[in-house]
Amino acid sequence: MLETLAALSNGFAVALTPYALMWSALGVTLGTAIGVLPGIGPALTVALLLPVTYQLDSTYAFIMFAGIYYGAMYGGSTTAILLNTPGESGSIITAVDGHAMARQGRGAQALATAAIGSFVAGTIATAALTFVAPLMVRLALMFGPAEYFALMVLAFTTITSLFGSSVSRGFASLLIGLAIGLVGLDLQTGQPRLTFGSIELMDGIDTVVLAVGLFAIGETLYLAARHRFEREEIYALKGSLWMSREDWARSWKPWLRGTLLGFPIGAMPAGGSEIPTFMSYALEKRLSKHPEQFGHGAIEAVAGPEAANNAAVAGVLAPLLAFGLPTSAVAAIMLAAFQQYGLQPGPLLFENNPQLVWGMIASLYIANVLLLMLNLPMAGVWVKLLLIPRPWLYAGILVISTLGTYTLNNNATDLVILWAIGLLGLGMRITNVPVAPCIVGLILGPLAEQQFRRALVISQGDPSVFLTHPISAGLLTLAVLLVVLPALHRRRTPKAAPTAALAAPEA
Amino acid sequence: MRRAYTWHRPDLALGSALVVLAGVVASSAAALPRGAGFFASAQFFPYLIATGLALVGLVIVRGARQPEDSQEAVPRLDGWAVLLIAAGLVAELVLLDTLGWIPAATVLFAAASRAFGERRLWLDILIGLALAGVLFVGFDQGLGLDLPVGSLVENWLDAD
Repeated sequence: MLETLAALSNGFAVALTPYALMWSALGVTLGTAIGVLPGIGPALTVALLLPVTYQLDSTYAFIMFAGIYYGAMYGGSTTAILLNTPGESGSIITAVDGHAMARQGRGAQALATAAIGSFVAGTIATAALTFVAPLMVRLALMFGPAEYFALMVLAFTTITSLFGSSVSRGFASLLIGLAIGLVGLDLQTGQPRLTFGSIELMDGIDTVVLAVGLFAIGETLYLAARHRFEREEIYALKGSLWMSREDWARSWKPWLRGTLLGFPIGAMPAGGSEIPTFMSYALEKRLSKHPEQFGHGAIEAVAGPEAANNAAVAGVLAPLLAFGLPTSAVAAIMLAAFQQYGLQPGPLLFENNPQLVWGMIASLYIANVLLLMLNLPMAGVWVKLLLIPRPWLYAGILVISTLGTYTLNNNATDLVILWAIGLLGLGMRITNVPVAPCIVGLILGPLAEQQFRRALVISQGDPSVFLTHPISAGLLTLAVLLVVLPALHRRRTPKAAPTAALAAPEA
Repeated sequence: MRRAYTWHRPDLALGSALVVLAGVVASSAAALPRGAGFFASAQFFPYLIATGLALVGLVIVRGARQPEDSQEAVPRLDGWAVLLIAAGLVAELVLLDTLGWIPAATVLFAAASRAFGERRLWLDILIGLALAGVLFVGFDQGLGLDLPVGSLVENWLDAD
């Protein structure tokens, strides 16, 4: 406890220097500005802004990432509320009542309760992260290769059964990601796999290229293919920009309850920020005196899920930092960013790079304060970004995507891969296959294989090691149950209403 | 009365594609030299993934045979717009190393704007040039990254 506080104060000593504050401020501003653009969710925001940090020292780069990460979350909720196009699965619920409020001319109040709720939830959850992360590190120290492998299998199953419209589509996405992860030289034996004789493919396919290809190129292609058949509505901010006394009274409890749901679920290897937002919505509806308003602009239905979403986002960082285990698309890209700097999150990172880890955690607190200052008075400015004519907006997104991809390795090969992945993304979008499991699969697949083979080397080739180690056996059992139980449940109950809309943001 | 069963085409295509991918992964794994111990070899994971892909693909293909009246509508798509953007991306990538970043990015910008229904080509080119120029100055000169320099435009912006 005291150790943690000391480490945190050292972190603040790093994060509060004017130089660090500048990068933090730049990160939250860019994160919000890019995150607010329709069609760009937090994962893509972080991926697109990676090149901006290439020349930075790793500590400041991650301080900036922390800002981008939180900023993109704030920006995403603005788009969800005013445009009804949630940029990521965590703000789908926000979009429902938030957009209804915007239609009634209460967009400003929806934005305010989202922003303040995000601040409250983000701050409490960051504090929780501060104390949970070192505990998780202690747990991680007990993990050998077999346990790591089992943990990753658990993450695979939860990610696939929680995202998207159907389990089979989730698995399809994960397996596509795992297959793409095979491309390149096998780490242990040096044999090329799935390279089809191409030298360029020997290095494998970059997580960032996959994320930009699926999220930016695939999504833009889909929107281009659909734009003639759809129209969107933007609602200007009007009337009082402040929340009334009643708005506050109806918001603060949902904020706190959302935080309580969001952080623990986000921090579990099961993870994700989507589930807690649904739970928060259901909880607020049950507790509300006006459940009939839900779905038609109830402020609680924005305050709770938005808080839950932001708390989960902080929670996701705990397994990422302690185990190197990404449980969301954004976390996968953060992990890729760590790898870009030759860093591997885990107990050793806390040991060897305390100024980086704690500087980043401290800057999460700072980012929250900066974002509140940035968002409440400047909501009107961000809204202006929504008014960019669509052809130029999407053309610009494509140009920036190719810029980010090219600068990754300074060669055009990545652009060829980007093109192919963009078409894959279009296909997945048309067939309602969620994208996030694919990205997590790509980055986690090779790591899982490495741990698997390492465990076998230690056990001298005996595969029963995964079942004889108690932690590993427990995690694997949990993973199997998570797939089997819902399937059995579905078989007994009649087919539920299709939830295809949840697979991907609807434009 | 019996309901008419037909194939839901997107699902059929998705499932078949997964089965084909499974075949590709498995055959490439089969070509690897055999290592000592199957589980720890470079072949085990590819085979595992191929098996998974084939199973999921078959499940989706089976589910694609649905009663006609309960099928989800296939969304209408504008193939021309997709083609235009795909071509714009190829053009950028081909032109990048010869003409340089700014002209190549402008071509992509103009093609993509067109795909989204913007018809004023000269305006697209102007905005594309401006955006590509700002990005070039910001990233190449400001952040010290290397963007391709061609003979047409970038030299004007080079300070040295």
